[in-house]
Amino acid sequence: MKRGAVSATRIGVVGLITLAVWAVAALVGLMVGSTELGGLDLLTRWFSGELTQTEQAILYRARLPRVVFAGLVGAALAVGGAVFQAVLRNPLADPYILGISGGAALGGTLVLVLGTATVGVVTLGTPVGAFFGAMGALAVIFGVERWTPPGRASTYVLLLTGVIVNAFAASLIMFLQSVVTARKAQEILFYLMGSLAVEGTSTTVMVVVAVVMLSCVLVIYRYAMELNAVALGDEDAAYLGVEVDRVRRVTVVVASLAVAVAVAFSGIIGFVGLVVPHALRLAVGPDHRVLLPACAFGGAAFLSVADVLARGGFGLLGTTLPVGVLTSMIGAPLFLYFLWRSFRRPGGW
Amino acid sequence: MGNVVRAESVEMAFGDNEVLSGLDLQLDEAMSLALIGANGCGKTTLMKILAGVLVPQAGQITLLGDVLSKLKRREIARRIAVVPQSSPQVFAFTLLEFVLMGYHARSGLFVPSDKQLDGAHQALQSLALGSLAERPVSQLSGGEMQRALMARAMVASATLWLLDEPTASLDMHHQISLLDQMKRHVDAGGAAVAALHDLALVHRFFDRVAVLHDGQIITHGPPDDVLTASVVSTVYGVQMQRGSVDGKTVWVAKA
Repeated sequence: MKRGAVSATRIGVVGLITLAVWAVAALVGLMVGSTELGGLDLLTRWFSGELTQTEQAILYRARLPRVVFAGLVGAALAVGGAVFQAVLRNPLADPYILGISGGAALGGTLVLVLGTATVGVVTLGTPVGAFFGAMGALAVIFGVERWTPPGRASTYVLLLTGVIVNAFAASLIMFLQSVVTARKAQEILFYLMGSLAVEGTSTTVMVVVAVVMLSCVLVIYRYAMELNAVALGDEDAAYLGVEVDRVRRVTVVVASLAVAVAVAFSGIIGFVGLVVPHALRLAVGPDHRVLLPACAFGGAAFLSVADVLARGGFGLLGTTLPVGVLTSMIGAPLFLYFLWRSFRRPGGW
Repeated sequence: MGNVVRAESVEMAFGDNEVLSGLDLQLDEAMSLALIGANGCGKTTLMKILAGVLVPQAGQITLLGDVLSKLKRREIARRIAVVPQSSPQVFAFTLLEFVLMGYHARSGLFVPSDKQLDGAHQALQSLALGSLAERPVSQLSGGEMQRALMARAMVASATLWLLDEPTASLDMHHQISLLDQMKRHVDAGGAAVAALHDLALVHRFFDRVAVLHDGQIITHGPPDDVLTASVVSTVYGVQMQRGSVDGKTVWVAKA
């Protein structure tokens, strides 16, 4: 099928289609839960204003925030994945390979082990610990990159440092797990598996998180054309007039910030940043002007569906499946399929 | 005639390996310069220094009256279009998308205009790539990729073209067609520097030749004056003989 050059129409059509897919996934998310309240009946009565106060509480305080949050986290992870893959010219890169997840997991685990502390009016819970852990990992990664002599392929320096940061964080987490009580160790395990439960999170925090993530996605979109050039290679991008170092730094830092905020509140949710950009690149091509909005809505839809399935598991397993486990269960075979498909159809990612 | 690019006392080393030592070079408008020299003599390094992606340890480059190191990347890309040696592509941008990226430095548009699309198609047609516009660049052959890089340079509307072994993977027909495009650009008032090894093409298409050896330009001037059997033997270490066929200069190896 002919793709042609990118146009405002193509960006709009792809954006609207992926937005519609997310909207459907979000509606399904509103209709499914651990109570009997659900199905089309819920939607019909919701739109006609016939819900009881209890039903309204379930819908507005539990399901709606969770669906919105799943969308935001999915969008941040997928857009982050697309950015890292372009900047590192590596289709296997995602927010986790750079060590951000490792740092976040370590930060969150430390708070779980040491307990929350209050500084002024701010309570340092696991999200704050995870956020600072992620930013700490980022500081280490860019610190090492800064020491790298010019011409020493800083792309690989970023990747390898990320791998080392992840390994180091994993060893510290295992150490912490080995010295706490069995009950605390299990708590850590569940935290690391990831969850989109937002009950108890204040509306103000939710709004701040949403604004930060959306702002990050918009800033990254501003660099869509530069990301196209950088995806060709650093030197080639420089020939085309792109300030490569600046673009790489801004996009990686902003994408990392979005991912750090997402991980801080949701824990470790893997494969979204890897699988969603891959799938959409096959469908709409690698041009970031089209790909990034598609990733934002596609990532939101993917995680919303995964969350629905995870909550749906409640009836079968008697417990809610951690969504991070489910995304990896879906993501790993999907990724293998994309890999197999790319081998059969030579022509790049 | 205005000066396009001037390199003064350029020095560059990688560790202990001194590649360029006190190199001087100058090119004016409506002039083409062929850069010849043995493998590893520093042609690509010099190209990258002229393009501003490598900073020399000493010396200065002046581009259209401005010191190159003081210009922003976008401004450099408005003045210089580079055809680098091709490298494998990871992502499946189509050839048309790839060529349209050539407008990046000049255009403030988020999506290409009709005029830009026409220009990209025209550049592709002129290099016999029109039928491949929708093909992913990651699927192109070496020769097709070289022409794709040339098409991208053509749409950039830059004064100076830097071509690093642009004919290395091309058959004879496409070598001539690509260098014809370069000649047209020079005849229209532009300038071009190309690193290449085919001496017959140097005689046919270039106004000047500079011979790079031991980190310096050992001789330069019109190809017919500069390229002698002795110079060629010094540079490449082989005995070559210059001849003429239908008024065109050719070189044949003696041994």
